[in-house]
Order: sequence, then structure tokens, then C-alpha cells
Amino acid sequence: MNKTEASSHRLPAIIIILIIFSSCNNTADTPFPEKQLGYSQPVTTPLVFSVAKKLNWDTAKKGGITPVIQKLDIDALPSIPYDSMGFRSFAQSAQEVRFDFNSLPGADFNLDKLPSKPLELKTFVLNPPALLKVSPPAPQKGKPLAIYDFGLAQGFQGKFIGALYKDHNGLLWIGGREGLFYYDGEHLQTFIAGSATFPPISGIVEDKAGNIWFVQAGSTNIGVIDRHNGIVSYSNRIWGVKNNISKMTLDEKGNIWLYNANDKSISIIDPIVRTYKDINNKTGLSDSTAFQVLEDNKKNIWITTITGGVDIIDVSSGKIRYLRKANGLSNDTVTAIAIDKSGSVWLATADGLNAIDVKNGNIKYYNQSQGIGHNYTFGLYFDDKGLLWRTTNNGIELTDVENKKTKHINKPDGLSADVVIALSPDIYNRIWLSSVEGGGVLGSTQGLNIIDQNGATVHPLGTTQIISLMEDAVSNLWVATQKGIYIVNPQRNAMRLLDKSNGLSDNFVQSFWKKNGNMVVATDGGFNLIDPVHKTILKAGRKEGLVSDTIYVAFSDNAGNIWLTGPSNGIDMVDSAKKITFHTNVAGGLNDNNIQDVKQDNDGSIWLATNTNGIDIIDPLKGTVKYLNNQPGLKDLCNRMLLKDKYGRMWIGTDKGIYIANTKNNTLTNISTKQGLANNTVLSLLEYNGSVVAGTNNKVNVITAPAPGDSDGQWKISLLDKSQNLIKETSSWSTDCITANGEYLWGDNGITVIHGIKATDDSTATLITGMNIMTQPQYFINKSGVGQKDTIRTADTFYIGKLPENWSASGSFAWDSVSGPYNLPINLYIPHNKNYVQFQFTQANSGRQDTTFYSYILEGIDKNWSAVTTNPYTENYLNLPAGKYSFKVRSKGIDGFWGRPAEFNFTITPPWYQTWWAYTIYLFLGISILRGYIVYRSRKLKTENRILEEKVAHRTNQLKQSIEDLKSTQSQLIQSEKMASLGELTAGIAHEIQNPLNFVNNFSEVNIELTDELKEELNKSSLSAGEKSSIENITDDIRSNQEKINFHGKRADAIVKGMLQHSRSSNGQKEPTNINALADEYLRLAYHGLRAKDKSFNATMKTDFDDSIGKIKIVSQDVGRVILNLITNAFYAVTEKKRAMQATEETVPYEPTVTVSTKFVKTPAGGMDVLISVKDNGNGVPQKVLDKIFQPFFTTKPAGIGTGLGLSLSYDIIKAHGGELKVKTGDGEGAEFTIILPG
Amino acid sequence: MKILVVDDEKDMETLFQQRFRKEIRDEVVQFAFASSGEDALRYLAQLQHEAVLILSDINMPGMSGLELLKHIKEKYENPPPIVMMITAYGDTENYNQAMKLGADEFLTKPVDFNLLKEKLKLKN
Repeated sequence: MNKTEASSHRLPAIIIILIIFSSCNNTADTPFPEKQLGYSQPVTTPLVFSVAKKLNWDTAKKGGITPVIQKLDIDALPSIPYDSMGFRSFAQSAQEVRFDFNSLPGADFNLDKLPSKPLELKTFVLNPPALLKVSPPAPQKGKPLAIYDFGLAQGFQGKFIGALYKDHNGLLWIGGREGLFYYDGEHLQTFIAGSATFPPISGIVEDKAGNIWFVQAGSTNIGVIDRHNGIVSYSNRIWGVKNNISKMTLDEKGNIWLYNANDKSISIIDPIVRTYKDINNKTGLSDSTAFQVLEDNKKNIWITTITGGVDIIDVSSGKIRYLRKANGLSNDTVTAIAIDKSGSVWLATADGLNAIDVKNGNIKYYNQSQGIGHNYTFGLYFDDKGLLWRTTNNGIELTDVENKKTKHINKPDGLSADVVIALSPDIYNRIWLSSVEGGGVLGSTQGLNIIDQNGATVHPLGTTQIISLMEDAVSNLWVATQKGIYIVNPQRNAMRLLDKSNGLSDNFVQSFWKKNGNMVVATDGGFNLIDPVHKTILKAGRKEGLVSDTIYVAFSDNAGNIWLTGPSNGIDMVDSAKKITFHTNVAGGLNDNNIQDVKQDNDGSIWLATNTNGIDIIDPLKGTVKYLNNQPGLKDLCNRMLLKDKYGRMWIGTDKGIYIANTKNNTLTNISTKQGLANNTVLSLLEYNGSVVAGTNNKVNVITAPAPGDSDGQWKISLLDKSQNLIKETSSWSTDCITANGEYLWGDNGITVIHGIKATDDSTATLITGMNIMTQPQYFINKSGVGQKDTIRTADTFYIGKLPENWSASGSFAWDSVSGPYNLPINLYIPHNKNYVQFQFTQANSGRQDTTFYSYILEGIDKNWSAVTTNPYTENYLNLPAGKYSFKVRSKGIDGFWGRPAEFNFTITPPWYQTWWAYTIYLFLGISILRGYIVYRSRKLKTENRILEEKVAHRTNQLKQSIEDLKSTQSQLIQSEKMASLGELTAGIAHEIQNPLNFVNNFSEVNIELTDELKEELNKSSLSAGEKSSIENITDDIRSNQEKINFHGKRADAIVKGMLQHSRSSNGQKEPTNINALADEYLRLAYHGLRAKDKSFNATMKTDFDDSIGKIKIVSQDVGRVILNLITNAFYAVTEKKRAMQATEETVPYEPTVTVSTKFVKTPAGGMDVLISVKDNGNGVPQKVLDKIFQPFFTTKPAGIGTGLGLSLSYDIIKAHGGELKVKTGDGEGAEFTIILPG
Repeated sequence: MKILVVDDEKDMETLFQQRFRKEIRDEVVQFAFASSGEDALRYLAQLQHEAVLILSDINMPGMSGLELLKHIKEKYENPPPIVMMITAYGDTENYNQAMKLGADEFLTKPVDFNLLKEKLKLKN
């Protein structure tokens, strides 16, 4: 019982452990496959050349050359002003005046003491923002700056945009007449839809709680969007009149300062308690229309005014100070304000800019003297590089204060309109601008402009087509045009023109090659070698001995020989030292007469890029040529498309991508769009810093190849940062170069400079934008974000303290709150029957990338990150099992690097029957069932135990019985063994005894006869009667003795004969015998036999025969002998008893009875046995002799009466019949011998 | 009638002479004795057709009675002498073998001379 109790405690513990294990959901981080770049790796094949053959030079065209060498002093060429960036240096330094902040006039001012008034916001439900996929901003071509459009063409409907604001997520809020939008780079979310009559949003600010406040121009509305709670609230308590183009500013404490250009007050909103305070001329402000507000580094609040200069609330001293013209300002009309990195406060005044350095007590004036316009200023903004952006009613003025230069950006430069009313940077510090036509606030625009000041800057060269670019040893930029060469000195913003008039062979300049500080120039009039150090120019054309005038490429090899290509002209080689030209073409062994480019590899071989027949490689030492043209792509070569990289690999630009021939490893590698090349038509190949910069028909790639021999190395192919909008056309010339400073120069109608060649920009964030559950988009908001007493309105009704039913995601989902720009729910629980989930995501790239690669994983079900996809959504995850999940998505930046993943966690709740409480119930149920089972089982066990004990006792008895049986069987076995051996022994002995017995018996018999004869002879003799009598007496004695000898001899013979019966194998045949008749016959035989011997013998005979027995096959003689023997024994036993009783004069009546019975019985094995039983009521067999009765020679009869072989013999006979002889007896109770014979 | 008794027991001669003393005296029978099978064969070879009856033991050193029987029945075909086997080994095997070899009678020891005389038709 104790045992079962112990196990009933152990089992629940096991169940609990099982539950714990089964509820564990492994959400371990799956490492992102770092080699998964979204593109496959390039295909590398063996590099196979044709068999080299002899190259024959055209001896007919071999000739001497007499180049003309002239003086050329480039520095002496006339200098032309060159507007490298469009900036104009200040004509003169800014005027500086002293001022003392602390001595400024002022008044006491305590903001805290001013009364707070409730905003009395009216709250409305915020419709779930509609998500609209838009195209990235489009670059404007041919403009002298990197400027982009974002408008109707991109899917953005906004025309009048009054406010642009970057929030803490780095995403952009765009507000205007068309409503309030949120832009993540791929999608626009419409939070508030505008209309033709919608008062345009003119100011946006995010409070510290992440709520977005906005004002609407031309109304008294102040709104706040609480997207996590799904509501928008409006107040129009602040202003009595409609506001003008109001702006909003957040101070460090989190209060929002806003102005209304239509009145003289400033309002300060406490966004937490939703109250506001007004400050105006009555509370200490200047009696003027207050404009913009700025908080400086010392937490002073600066308020610009239209006529009163600037008011400064000195919070620390509890004062308001007035800084006006009288105190040092250049002008009292101040419309905009900004603060630079050093802490100087910049004011836009009617006459320019005032920079106020409070610490050093000075003010600098910037005005027309410096080139600063005096347009009306809407806003001032210092970008991340310290450039000051002034948005005005006449475009943008961009001022580099440090370098004392400024430039204007107007409509011709790409602005949509000149009245720029809103400006905001995006996360890449690109400047987003909104401009309107006609100077009116309600004018119209064509969307937004974005200026990327970080990326490319443009050196305008007018409409001059640039053919080629090359930087010389002293960082001058050589610009090949059809008008000669512009040699640009960017440092001095000056350029000089080198043309035919100065000694150039021709004004049409095809290309440059730089060699040992000299510039090799290919023109349409031959080639020039310009030595800037020795100030010479070498001229060689047809006149000077060349085959052709038009030179595409002039290449100077390591030996100083110059290789020249021209139209269908094969190749010319000028041995500069010997002044001899050599010529060859297809006739001499080349593959093509049109040679596009010439380069020399590290083995000294000259590689010729042919037009349509691959590469010809000339070994100048051996004078042989071989071809590389076994790839189809190699036959479509692009202009001047050979590059030898620093490892000596030859890069070949084709129409099928780039081939890289590695002569060391004999490999040829192909890179195409499959590997991430922007376009298969390669227009330029340049090497920079171990990478190859490849201009294609669409964008510029940076290719980083693994070092030769690094077989595991990965090819990394990404876009050149900031170059994504440099689109080259096949028709344009391949005109790019990389300067020693690492600037990528791209020539078109001007030179675009990309500062810094890199492909690294790991700031690209990925955002999860939403999720579909059961294929329905879900909108989540905070569930308890609305106050109990708040009234929430919709168009036609209102709700108290709650949102409309089913306003957000349906009630079967559970979440704590929402977060992030897309209201992602925190701790989302999805019921198990809504387990179809799909996610959407985006890359926060502000539209810089037109194809974004994503990879995602749903940890908890996915084993690996997904294959790279361009879809901004996942597969639909169907039938997610219950458990915790973590969704992660990452995107590949424009640089080719994968950014950090965005993560979203949620739980699929199990059905009730799999919940913890269900498990608890199961547990209790389990325990109860277990308990019940244990009780039942223990009861049953007890019962079974009892039964078992009984069974055991029973079986033990049976076992004892069988052991006893076994013992007796064993003893019988031993007995029978003994008897068998005895039988054999006695047979041998018996035979041998018969020989002597033969003599004993026969001689004794003869002696008897002889004594008789002796007596006869005696009677005949003459002896006396006395003598005769005495002799006769002796003879009689002898005769008597002989008779005794004969008697005992016969006795011995009987014994021996009996013994021999044992060994005698019966020669009797088995035949069907009526056993009843046999038994009856022998019973009578025995009785009469005994009666014949002993007349006094008398006994009762009883028979009980089973008539059903029929005949059985036995040796009837043998079995009869057995029966006879048994009956004789029985008769003897009863006679002995009677005699004994008579001797002791017992008075108990005794009837000697012998019963012979037969029975036909069924055996356990199924057969039939015949039982012949001989039963007497004599004294029985004493227990101590019971074992011995079947042994031969054992007898209880007196000597001479029995041989002791009867039972032994009987036993053998019955055994021989396959039967059994058994005895049942008790001392004094008679004996029953049973013969069992198989039937 | 001439009877050859073959037995390795020498006393058999005395026993037979005493048992048949009357018949010997009356010259109804004549006995010859051989102590082994070989002796018997020698005797038979010398005095062919003299013995009309042969009484032989079976268990004898050298040639057994059964071998002797075999020889006699093979050799003396016309007419074969009557051979009676007298043995202590009156078991079935011996009996069957003797009969198969053509023994005319099979008697067991101790010899019942009354029975023997009956068989020899000497007793009336």
C-alpha cells in the first residue's frame, strides 16, 4: 500500500514537467546567412585563348615618323572663371558689431506665473491610415545639382505642402492642403485626408510622447494625432482669428511654442495636461507680430517679431530682453531664426542675416555686400555640414559661412517654384523642400523637391559635351570636349582651354592616357604628348608619318612605345625611340580592324579590345597574337573597356556584363545583372582602393573582387553610394574618372562629382509596417488610451471613454499597447483559430533605392531566413501552431550590406484545451483519475492477492503432490532399472544353474531307482533277515535322502524357471482378447487350483466387470499369468488372515473376500484405459515393504511356498504391454492391485 | 538305435548311461558320446550312418551345438540324422535359431528323461 501512495505523488510531478517541456517554444536566434547577398556569385570558367600565331607587321606601312615638338606652357594659357559648385565667394567680409546681452533692455518675465487655460480638445476617431505605395523621388537630369522630384509622377498627390517634419523615427511627415501624410521611403500613410477647402497644414511638431501636433493655416485649428490611441483631437480655443502660416517649435521641457502671423501673441502648449498659455505685449512681448521661436543652448527662448527685432526670454534670470536695431541688430524685421553649431543665433532680417554670438558679444551682418539677397525669409536651417539654408520667396540661398561663399538655387536649378515655404532634412540629410508659385501662400506646386547636397555636386560646363576626363599629376582635371581640352583647377575655381590654337593637333579630343607625368592625348588629328614639366607638346599625325589622323586611343606601353587605334585601322605602334611606326590589321593576324582599347598586362602582352571579335593579345617579344573570344559576351565589347587591376587581372566591359580574365589562374569570370550589376552594358571601368567602379547603362557599381587565389572569397557588388541617379546612356561618351582625392567624376553636360567613393552606409533601417491576420489588414491602437470621460466623435455620433466597437483590430486579439510609427502591437496574442499571419515591411530609405531586397524569418516556425525577395511582404503563414513567435526582417542597403533586422514579437494563444488552466484541469483530472485508479487498483489488487494466495496454496499443494508423485515415480524408475538389471543378471545365472541342477535332479532320480533296484537285489540275496532288514533300512534312508535331494532340486529348478521368465521375451502374439472373460477364467483357475491343493481353502469371490470394454489387444497368456498371480496372492492373503484370526481366536466375523473388477476409463490424454483390479480384504501390504514387493525374490510367504518372482514378473509383463501395475493398500486393510492397460 | 550325445559336461555320459541303463542293457539303444561339436563331426565322419539320433548341447566351447546342427543338416542330407537340442538356454532366440537350422526337437535342461524317452519312443 505504501508503494502505491508513493507513485501517486510522483506521477503529477512528471505531468508538470511534461507540461513545462511541451510549452517551451524555442525562439533562439537564427543567424543570418552572411553570404546571402541577394545575388548569386559570378560564374568562373577556364580562361581559354586561341593558339598563338605569328603576327605580321605591314611592311608597306612601316615608316619613319617625324613628330613636331612645340613649346606649351599650360599655366600661361588664359584663365577662364570656373564655377565649380555654383558658389560665389563673399565679396567682402561680414560687418561685425559689438553688443552686450546682459545690458539689453528688458522686463521681468515669469512664464510659470501666467495662467494656464484648457485647450478643450475635441476628440475624434482617427481613421486607420491608408497605405499608398509610391515610387522613389526621381532625379532631374541635366541640372547643376542633385535635385529630385517627388510629386504626382511618384504617386504623391500633394500640391500645396505647408509643413515638412522629420520625427524621432527618422520618417517624414508631410502636411498641406491635401492632408497629413507619413512617408517611409516606400509608402505614404494618409493620416488626415485634405480637400480643396481643407485649411492647409502649415506646421508640424512631435511632442515628447510621440504625438503629432499640427496647425492649419487659414483656420483656428490646432490638431494632435495620437496614433497609438487611434484618435485625433482638435482645439480652436487659442486664436480668435484665423492664423497665418503658423509654425510650431518644441522646447526642451516639451512645451510647444506656436505663433500666428496674424496676431501679436505667442502661445505655449503643455501637451501633457493639454493646457496653454498666451504671451503677448501685455505679458512683456514686444508690441509686434511675433513670428518664429527658437530655444538656444542656454534654454533662452528667442522670439522674432515683424517690427520689434527679437525678444529673448531669459528663463534663468526671469527676464525678457529686447534685442533691436537700437541694440545692435541690422534691422528690426526678423522673420526667421536658426542656431549654428557654435551656438550663434542667426536671424533673417529684412536686409539679410544677423549672426548673434552671445558669448563673445558680437553680431555679424550678412547682406548684399556678401552676396546675400534680401528676399523675404520663410525659414533658416543649418544642415549637418554647417551649410545655412535660407528659404525665401525667391528660391533658396545656400551659404557656406565658414568658407564665406553662397549660392542660390532657383527654378532653373530644378526647384518647382521659387517661394520655398517648408524645409526638412530626411535621415540622409537630404533637404526636402516645398515651394509655391506666385508668392502667395495658397499658390500651387508640383509636389516636393529634394536636394542631395551630400551626394553629387555638379560643375556646370554649360552645354559642352564632355568626351573624356582625366586628372593629371597636379590634380588638374583634363576635360576632353569637341572644342579642345579644358584643364580645370578646382582649387582656384579656374580653367584654361587648350585647343588647336595652342598647339593641340585637333579640337576633337577622343581620350587621354597618363604616362610618367605626361599626358597622351588622342585627337581627330593625330596624337599629342604633353609634357607639363618641360612645357612641351609633341604632335604626330598623318603629316608626321602616321597611317591615320583620327586616333581613338593612344596608349603608351612600358617600353615607351605608343599604340594607336583609329577607325577600321587595325593598330599602329610607334617606336618612340626609333621614330618608326608599325602597322598591322586583320591581314597581319588581327581578328578585327576596329580596335576600341589598348592595355598592357603584367606579362607585357598588349591587349586589344576589338569591336566585335573579342580580345586580341599581342606578345611583342615573341611577335605572336592570340585571341580571347570563346565567350559570346566577349564579342560585344564596349568602348574603351579594358582595365588592368592591381592584381594584374584584365577587366573587360561588354554588353553582357564584365569579364575578368585572370592569366595567372587561367580563369575567366563573368559578372552580370545576375550578380547585381546594375546593367549589363558596361560603359566604364575604373579602379579605386582595391575595388572596381563600373559605370553601366544604368547606375554605377562598386565591385570588390576577392583577391586572386581566394577561392572562398565572395564577390561583392554594390552601387556606388550617391550615384544611384547618375544615369549614363549608351549614346553618351564614357566619361568618368576618379581623382587622387577619391572623387568620382562623371562627365555629361558638366561634371558631376561624387565625393567619396564608398559603398558603405549601414544606417538603413527596416521597418515592419503592418500585418494581415486571416488575410485582413489589422489596425491596432492602444486599448485604454482614451480617458474615461473623454468624448470620442465620429462623423455622426460620439462615444464616451472609448472608441467605437471593432474600431481597431477585433476583440479576439489581445495586446498591451502599440508602438512605433506603424502602431505595432506590443505583446500581441492571436487566438489559435486566427493563425494566418502575413507581415508587411519597408526599408526606411526615403526613396533612395528603387529595388530593395528583403529577407525575413518567423522564428518559432521558420528554420532559416527566407530567400531574398523584393516583395515588401512575407508569405502568408498559415496554421501557425500555438506558441511564441518573433518576426524579423532585414533589408539590404543601397551599399549592398544587410541592415539590422526589425523585430516583432507575438504569441499565438493555444485553444482553451491547450492553455495552462486547461492543463491544470487535466492535471487535476489526471490526478483524480489516477487516484480513482489507484483506489480501484489497490482494491482489485487486494482481491487478486487473496485469489493469488489461494491459488498459490492450491498450486503449492499440487506441487507437493507432484513432487511426491515425482519422488514415487523416481523410486519406481529406480526400481524398474534395478529390476531390469536384475532380470538380465538372473537370466545368465539361471541358465548356468540349470546345468548342475540337471545332474542333481537326474542323478537323484536315478539313485531312487537304484535304491529300489538295490532292494530288489537284496531280496534276491541270501543274506539274513536281520542283515537284510538293516541293509533295507539303510537303503530306505538313502532313498528318502535321494527323494529330498530330488525335491529340492526340483524346487531350485522352479526358481530358476521363474527367474528365466523375466528375461524371456514373450513370443506370444498380441490378439484381441475379452479381458472380462480372461479375468473370470483365471479367477476360477486360481480358486480351483488352490482348492485342489488345500481342501480347507475357502473364500468369497466377487466380480464386477465393465461390459463396455470389449476386446483389447494383449498377449492373453502373459496377462492371464499376471491376473492369476495377483488372484493367487489375494487368496493367499485372505487365507493367511483367516488363519491368523483363527489362531488368535478372534471373534470378529471375517469373510475372506477377493474382488476382481474391470473398468473402462477415460485417460486425461483422451484415450481409454482398461483397469483390472484385484482386491482382497486381507492384512494388506505393510508400508515398510511396499517398495520391495515388485522386486524379484521378495516374498512374504514362508520359505518354499513362493519364489518371490510373481509380482516382479507381473510388473514386467504389464510394462511390456505399455501399462501399469499399481497397488493401493493400508496396513490391515487389505490390498488392491490394479492393472492399467491402454485400451 | 544309436544315439550320439554331444555335451561338454563329462557327467552327461554317466547320467545317460545310468538313466538308460535298462535300455542299454536291453540293447534298445546304444550311446556314443562326444564332448564337443568337433568330436561329434569326427565321430560322424568315421561312422557314417551309425547314429540315427544326435542329442546335442548348444553352449559348448569351440563349435556350438547350433553350428554342429548346421553342419549335420548341410552335410548329411540323405537321410539326415535326427538332431535334438538339449540346452540350459531355452530362450526364444535359441529355440527359433535351432528350429530354423532344422533341429528336430528342442529340450531344456534339466533334462526330463521321462520326456526324452517319450520323444525317443522308448517309453510305452
